[in-house]
Amino acid sequence: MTTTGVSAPKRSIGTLFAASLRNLSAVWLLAVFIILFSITAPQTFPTTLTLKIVLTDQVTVGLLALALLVPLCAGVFDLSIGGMLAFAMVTMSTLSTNGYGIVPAVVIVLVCCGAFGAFNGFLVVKLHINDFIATLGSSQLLLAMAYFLSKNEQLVPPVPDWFTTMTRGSWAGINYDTFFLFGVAVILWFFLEHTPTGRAIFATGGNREAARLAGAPTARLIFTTMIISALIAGLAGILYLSKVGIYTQEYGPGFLFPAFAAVFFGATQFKGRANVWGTLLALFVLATGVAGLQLTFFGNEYWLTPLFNGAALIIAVALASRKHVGKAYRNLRKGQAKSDTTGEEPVAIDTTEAIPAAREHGLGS
Amino acid sequence: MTQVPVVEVRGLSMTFPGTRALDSVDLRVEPGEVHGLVGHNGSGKSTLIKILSGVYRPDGGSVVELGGQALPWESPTEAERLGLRVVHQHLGLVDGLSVTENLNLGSGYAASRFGRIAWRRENRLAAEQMARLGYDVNPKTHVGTLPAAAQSAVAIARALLPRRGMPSPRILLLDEVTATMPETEIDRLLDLVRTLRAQGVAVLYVTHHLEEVLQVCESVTVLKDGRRVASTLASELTMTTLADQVVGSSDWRRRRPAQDSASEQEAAVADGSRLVVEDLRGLLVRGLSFSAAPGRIVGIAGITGSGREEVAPLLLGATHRGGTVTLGGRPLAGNRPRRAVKAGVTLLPADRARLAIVPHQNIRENLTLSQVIGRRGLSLLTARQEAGTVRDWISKLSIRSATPEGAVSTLSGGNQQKVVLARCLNVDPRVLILDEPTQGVDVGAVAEIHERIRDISQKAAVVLCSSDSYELTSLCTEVIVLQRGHVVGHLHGEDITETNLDHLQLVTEPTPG
Repeated sequence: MTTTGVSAPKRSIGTLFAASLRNLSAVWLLAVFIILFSITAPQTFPTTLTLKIVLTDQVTVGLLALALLVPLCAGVFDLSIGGMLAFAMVTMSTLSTNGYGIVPAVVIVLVCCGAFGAFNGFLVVKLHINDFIATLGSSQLLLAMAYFLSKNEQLVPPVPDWFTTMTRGSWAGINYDTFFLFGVAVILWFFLEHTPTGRAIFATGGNREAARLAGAPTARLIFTTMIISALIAGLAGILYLSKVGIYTQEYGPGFLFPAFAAVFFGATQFKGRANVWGTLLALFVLATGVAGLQLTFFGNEYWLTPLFNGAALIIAVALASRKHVGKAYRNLRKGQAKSDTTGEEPVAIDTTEAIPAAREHGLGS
Repeated sequence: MTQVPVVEVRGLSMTFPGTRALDSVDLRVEPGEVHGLVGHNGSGKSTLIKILSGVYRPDGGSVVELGGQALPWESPTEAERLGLRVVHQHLGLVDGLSVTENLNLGSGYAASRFGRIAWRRENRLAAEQMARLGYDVNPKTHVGTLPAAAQSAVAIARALLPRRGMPSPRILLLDEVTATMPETEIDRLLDLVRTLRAQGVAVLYVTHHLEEVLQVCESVTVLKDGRRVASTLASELTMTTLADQVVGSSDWRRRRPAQDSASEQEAAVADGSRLVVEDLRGLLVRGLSFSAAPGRIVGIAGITGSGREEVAPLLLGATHRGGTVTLGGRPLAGNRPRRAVKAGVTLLPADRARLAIVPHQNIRENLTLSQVIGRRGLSLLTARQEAGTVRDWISKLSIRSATPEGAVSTLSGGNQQKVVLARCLNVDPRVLILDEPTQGVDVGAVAEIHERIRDISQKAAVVLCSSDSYELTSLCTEVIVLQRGHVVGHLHGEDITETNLDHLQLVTEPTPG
């Protein structure tokens, strides 16, 4: 007899709560943070200033997270985005210092980043180099170029005021660069979720061979996603330069982990796979937590941010997959009892449904 | 006094929920004997092997004795302790490790000074162990680079290694180790089996290749539908009589590979849905030519290792291929599945979990995948657009699922297969290539899928590659049978019977009349 598919969802509070724990754990976490930190830092945390800081400070990490997201949906890691950011900042700086106007400089920077993204794509798709390794390597190449161009100095490029206002100006209390972030997010959301190319990208990430046999141009798609991620990372660099006005060698690789945390935590939200709004939600929830911790402990303790990001990522993903682990175990026992002569194989249950790329790289169970 | 048989099985029965896989089977293997075990898929052969390997526990009343001692069925290692060793088709070797390392896999190395491994000694031992089997191999070579028979020899050598606390092995069970080997390697393996016999190790040799059985075994047991058909001395058997035992009938007619006269007489008008395959070549397949058109269903049959598994991917262009495939007169590029799909060719792949189902997309997305891929890259795509199509297919194919937005992993195997079939049919293909379409599918869904295939064959050319003789007989208007990559038979119409298919797949000599 055929087993029935998903039965009609029971509407009990318990089931809804459990479901939301799986798909919306970030929202619950946010609620916990707000309550907790309003108690521990009642004067400073629950204020509009906190809200403003949280929204503003995350633009660069958010753009990098979105840059990471696109190839990840295709099943591929692009670890060069940190280096790309540094490279974009330095190139922009250098061009500006050498008399180029902002607009031509932006165009040149983006073209260079896109070309480098194409280079990444070439390594992965044509030379079949493992994406992790290829982009790790190219990130170092990018850093090398950045250090070379910056001649090991800090750079303060001469820029017109409008370039600075572009990010630091604000409307209704929200900085312009936050609008950039949401603008890019909307475009990506539309592209990934509502176009045939986006659907084909997800199919490539979910099962590359199946997508290929169904007629998807998987190589071309992966190549394209690497160019897209390079462009977004380049844009992030340009905006960051606009915001801080200065380039130092610290900038770049340090953004990588928070971007990762946002994407992987975000993949557990809403859809059970990497997605745009989950990434942004995760981003802001994590930022809220960090802000709360810093306000509670009076000061900019540098160790708080990584501690927090690391712990939150692990706990959030564990909460999201705990149900899968239990279910997978039960199905495994059922499968053994049924055995293989009844003509029906037990269906495999994946314990890390959230991230296809992670599964491919053996990071899942 | 008769010798104690090395394996004795009496009244062995095994019942699973819904089927009786083995029904009172008897089997005797004498010491030092090479005993063949043959039978169809579904004959109970693999169940018997699993019982002997300790994976399954048989029904009460079954007696299994190894060297006169009954198996207590408490743990899978008992059979090993009583002297039984098993080597499967998938040898369980690690390609990247050396012969020595593979031989010691799982058993570790003898302790040496300071706890280091004495590689020189281990390598020497490994070379000796291989030499005892007649193989002169550098023990440091990576197993992955060895030819097939040598790899099997490593697996066999490992199986025969003495283990601490256990008697030396007296019986080796070889489970279809030659299934995917080229002929020259098979001959070498058979020599190895003879060497083992000379050393007093009994061999239970399981295979589909009847000619091997007749070449190397002293006696042969044939299973069919869970029962023992016969145990006969090999000297009293011929290929034909053995095949009759396996197939269960001596009433069959064999035709020489017919010229494809029927279709050649059809006008060679370039019909848009006419698929013409000429001299198809892959890793195994050689010289396969046929044509397919709407109104007919062409079947491709053959056992594992015959090349049948290659045909479907080759037709789509998913792997390197030689020869030509044309559709409606226009040749299809090899190695470009995308172009074939654009031209109207779709493939329902075998092994759906690995090759067809996209696990992170829901049922709707899996179903509409091919259609979506065919649309313009940046056009608008919404769930609502697809909802109607998806609902239609769910009802047409009776896909049992509460909602199309549900995860595809919640569907049973049969329903998943229907989703992939819907994906293929949704794009109105001109050619539908099916590769094991009902594997791992429950009986009810099988009938529904077969119905669909019959329907679509009116509008599209259908090629059905399958190891299921029943499926081939019930659906196909013609069937091409492969053995070792070559066409050995082409059955039409009424000649397509399970008996004829089995004979063509198994028998390797031409027989009179």
